[in-house]
Amino acid sequence: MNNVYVKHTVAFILLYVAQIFLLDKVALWGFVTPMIYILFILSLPFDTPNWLMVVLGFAAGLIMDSFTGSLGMHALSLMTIAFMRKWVITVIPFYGEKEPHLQPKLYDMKFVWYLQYTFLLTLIHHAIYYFVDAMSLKHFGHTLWVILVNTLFTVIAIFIVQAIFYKPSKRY
Amino acid sequence: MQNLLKFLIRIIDIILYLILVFVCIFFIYKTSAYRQWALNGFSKEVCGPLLRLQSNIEQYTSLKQENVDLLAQNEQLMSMIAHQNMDMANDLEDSTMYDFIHARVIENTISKRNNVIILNKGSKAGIQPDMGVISPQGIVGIVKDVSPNFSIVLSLLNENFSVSAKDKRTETVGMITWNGKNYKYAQLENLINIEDVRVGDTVVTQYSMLYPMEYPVGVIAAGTSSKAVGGYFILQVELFQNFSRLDNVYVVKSRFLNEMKALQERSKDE
Repeated sequence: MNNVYVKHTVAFILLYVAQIFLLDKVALWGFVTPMIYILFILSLPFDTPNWLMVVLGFAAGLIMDSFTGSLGMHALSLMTIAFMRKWVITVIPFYGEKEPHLQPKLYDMKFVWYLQYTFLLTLIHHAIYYFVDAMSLKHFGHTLWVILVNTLFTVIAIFIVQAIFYKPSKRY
Repeated sequence: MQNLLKFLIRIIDIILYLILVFVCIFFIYKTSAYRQWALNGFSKEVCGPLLRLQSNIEQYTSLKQENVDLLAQNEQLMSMIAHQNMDMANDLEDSTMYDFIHARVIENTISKRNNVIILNKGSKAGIQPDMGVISPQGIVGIVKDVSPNFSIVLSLLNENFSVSAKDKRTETVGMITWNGKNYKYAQLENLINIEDVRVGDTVVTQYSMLYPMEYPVGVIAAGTSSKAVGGYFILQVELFQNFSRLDNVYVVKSRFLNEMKALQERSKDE
């Protein structure tokens, strides 16, 4: 039991260090910044109660906000995907046995399932984040383009991290 | 009653979510309230030292480029001294108008629509809101909020930033803004006549309390002049300051800032 908390705390710290010290300095073509830190919320166990998801999403987002000086934008978008994860999971067809204590991992799930899961939640997160950032629908096309390209790069980054660091769980 | 309680517990996540959404929206709209919280609360104690550590590492790795930039700045200053000796009488008034407070950038973004910069000095060093921020290369932004040890600067790369500027050669006056697309280019807007303006012309600031007079901004970039609503022209300006490599900046402290503010307050009252 304790092991789970320690594991997620360590994952949280490592992801945030990577995000703040490394990825936030990246700006490919001036607007692409992969947001790897949302993997913390994405990889929480399936049986996490939803109210806890919301609280964790809010807290984690607020911590990211205070590092980047952005105004509650990370908190709002991260909290929203934490809140909506429950429904996103039910929407995506799930093959095989449900094991509620497990966390969504690339190696444990089917590749297609994990791709859909990551892509949907990342898209929602980025859509909220960049539209709040733009604060208007004035440059709608440009904002849409920014959202799509950033989603692509974030998903790629998440897959790389998953492939390297998240080992498959032991089956019971 | 028990049923109601059960129902509430079942939808506790939705209630919690809606409440926190309002908190976020409050932060996003009341940006100054958020910044106050961020500056005085969590950030100052926890993020400040961490960010400082990070910028220390970055400063170390960019020492070589830093040297090159400093040499260039030296050259510029020397030519300014030479220039000043020639018409000392004219410039005397202007050169004593501003003090410069040196600060270092500890956090800077360029990829968002509204970017902010955090500096390692605050009100203890004499920085106040509404002061201009420049780098040796060009203008950088405006101070928005200060705490004793840190200050938040509205970057030039921000929708809410605008400053009047002119083409140095033809004295064509316009407004510098940023359209959020590329951190290397800003836009010179509200131009009535662009016939005389040529590609490569230097764009400088106009007389204001924020920046020294005729401080460099950038050069007019090729192509892409467009007509906006109302018949005004927009030109692309390639910025002198590379915002992806921002380190040493100077906060411009006008000797007359407080006097000016007091005057504005007084005229508001009447």
